[in-house]
Amino acid sequence: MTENRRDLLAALATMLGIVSEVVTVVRHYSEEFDITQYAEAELPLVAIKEPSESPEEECTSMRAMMWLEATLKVYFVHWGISPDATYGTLMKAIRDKIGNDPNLNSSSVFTHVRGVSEIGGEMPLFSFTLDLACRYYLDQTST
Amino acid sequence: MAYYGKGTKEEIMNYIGTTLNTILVPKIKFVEYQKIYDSGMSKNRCPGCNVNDVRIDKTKILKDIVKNTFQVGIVGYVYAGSGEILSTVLNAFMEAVKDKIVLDPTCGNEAYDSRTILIETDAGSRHPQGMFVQMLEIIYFSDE
Repeated sequence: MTENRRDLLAALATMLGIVSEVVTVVRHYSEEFDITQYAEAELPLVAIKEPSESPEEECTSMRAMMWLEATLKVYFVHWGISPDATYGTLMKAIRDKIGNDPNLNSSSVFTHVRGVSEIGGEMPLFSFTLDLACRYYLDQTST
Repeated sequence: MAYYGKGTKEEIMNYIGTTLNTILVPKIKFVEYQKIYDSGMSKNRCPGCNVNDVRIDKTKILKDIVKNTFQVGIVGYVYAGSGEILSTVLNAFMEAVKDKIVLDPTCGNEAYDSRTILIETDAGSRHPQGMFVQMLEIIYFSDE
């Protein structure tokens, strides 16, 4: 079991990277993600914003249960009239991948999707967000 | 799919000129490009119009996709002969031009969309000659 946020987020990025519908996964640390630095061929792209973190419950033996609230912003290009089908396909693929392995390859106690936004953007670039909640044990002796 | 809109400025201008050239009622006499003056205009040449590119605003969408907001000005000329009312002649030609543009807002699949944003006339100040300007806003996409 992973016991720090660094490895958990790396595992999340790796897991999203093997979703067949997703081409690129990036982590970003600033408030705004600059999608104009990426080309059409690099989309669909999932941007993982550096999450907020809070302790849920202190445990004995220098361990604490931590909450990580991560936001995924998914960008995709759609040239047709309505992006609904692409939105649905991408959202389902990502939700299914997380739902099939809520431990994120043994890196978290539990990860689940708390909410999905509506489609934003305008033709041909659209986006939506998924809010994730991850729980993991922080080993305060090793981080 | 008709919604690509990845034509070029030249292709869009050419489409507008070509489609305006097919106006039959009233029968159009000329379409020219990039002219804003009317010297040499005679009643025998009317009705006709000039198609001018005005400006392009570019918005970067992705590294290799740019959204272009392209403004085109159509300057139309009419002439009211004896027994004709200038405003009627002017309106008939303006409607014919508008109808041609509305018929295919994608400009033959070269643009994503287009709309008329402004129409102004000379309000009869050059009677019996009449003029109007129709401004179009056309959206198309390009690589840079």
